[in-house]
Amino acid sequence: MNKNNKRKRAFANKLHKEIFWLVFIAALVPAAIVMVLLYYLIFNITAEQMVIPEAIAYNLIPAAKKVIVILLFSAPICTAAILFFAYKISHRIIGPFDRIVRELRECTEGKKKDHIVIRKNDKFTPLVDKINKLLDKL
Amino acid sequence: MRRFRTITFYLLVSGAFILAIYTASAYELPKWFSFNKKNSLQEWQEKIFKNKVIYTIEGTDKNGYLQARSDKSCSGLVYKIRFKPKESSIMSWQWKVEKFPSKAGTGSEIGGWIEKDDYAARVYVIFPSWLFTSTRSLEYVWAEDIEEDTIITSPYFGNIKLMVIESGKQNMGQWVYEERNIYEDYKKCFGSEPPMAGAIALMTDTDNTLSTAEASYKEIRVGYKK
Repeated sequence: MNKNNKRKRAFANKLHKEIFWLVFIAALVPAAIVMVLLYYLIFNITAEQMVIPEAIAYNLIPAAKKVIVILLFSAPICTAAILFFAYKISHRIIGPFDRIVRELRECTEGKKKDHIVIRKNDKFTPLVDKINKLLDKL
Repeated sequence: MRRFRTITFYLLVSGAFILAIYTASAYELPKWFSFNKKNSLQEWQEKIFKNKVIYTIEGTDKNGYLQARSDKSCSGLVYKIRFKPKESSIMSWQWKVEKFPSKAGTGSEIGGWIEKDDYAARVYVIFPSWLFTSTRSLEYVWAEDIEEDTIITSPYFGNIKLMVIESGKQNMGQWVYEERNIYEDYKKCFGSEPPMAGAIALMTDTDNTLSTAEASYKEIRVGYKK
């Protein structure tokens, strides 16, 4: 890709932003719920089994504190990873979608006569095939 | 729609069933532990903290009691029982100390020393919480060297308050009757209304002083009103 053609904005359009947030929240919320539930259940059930408060204070609370520290360090890393993958996935969806819309517009305006072409690994390949067949018939 | 109703119905039935099990334990009050039968310890759970204290049932019929022998060890007997201290505030028991843990060379300050946090006899009332770090405990102890009516915060955890209700060696080797108002004691120790109690426990421990101790317990009654 030419350096000048590089997009300067993070999101191509509103739909891109919406898909990004959808993917991000869909991954982050279940992960956070599972993390909190696991933490709560593991330590609470263990405490319930230990019963004796001294045993809880001596064994369980230091372990719980260590886990909290690990979680505090790992949570931003996990969130960053989810952000990265959400951005990648949203790009994979919105890139070909935008291209299809743009090329269809060019076809209807008569600027383009040949097939719509998308990249090999892009989504919507079956849709593009069908559109190309329709364009052939027209 | 019909499916939704069926699911709701099953959820409600399950909820009612769980609630019934959860509240059932509150109806066994008042609970009396006489230790008159050889299998009296079956209903108690042993929780080992550091090594095992030997808990045995001694005597028979009306003279049964629970004897604890601790040798550099710390384990307790727990009985899970739910009750509201405001409604069933009294707990009573008899205890006897035959040997105190040796605290020589472990410091003289009251509290704050894990090395001397051993008592010949302890009776716990445990107040569990939805968050384990908020679990609170009231411990009645028979201490050799701390004045009666002293309240100590455990060196392990701020949520554990120890009340010295028997002190010294003058009653050593004799059965001593104790009767406590858990509701009032909790308010005195924690300065707030007690939540639902979740368990009682007994312990004779010597793991910190690395010594030996012997005590006996009998006639424990929980959850009644005077």
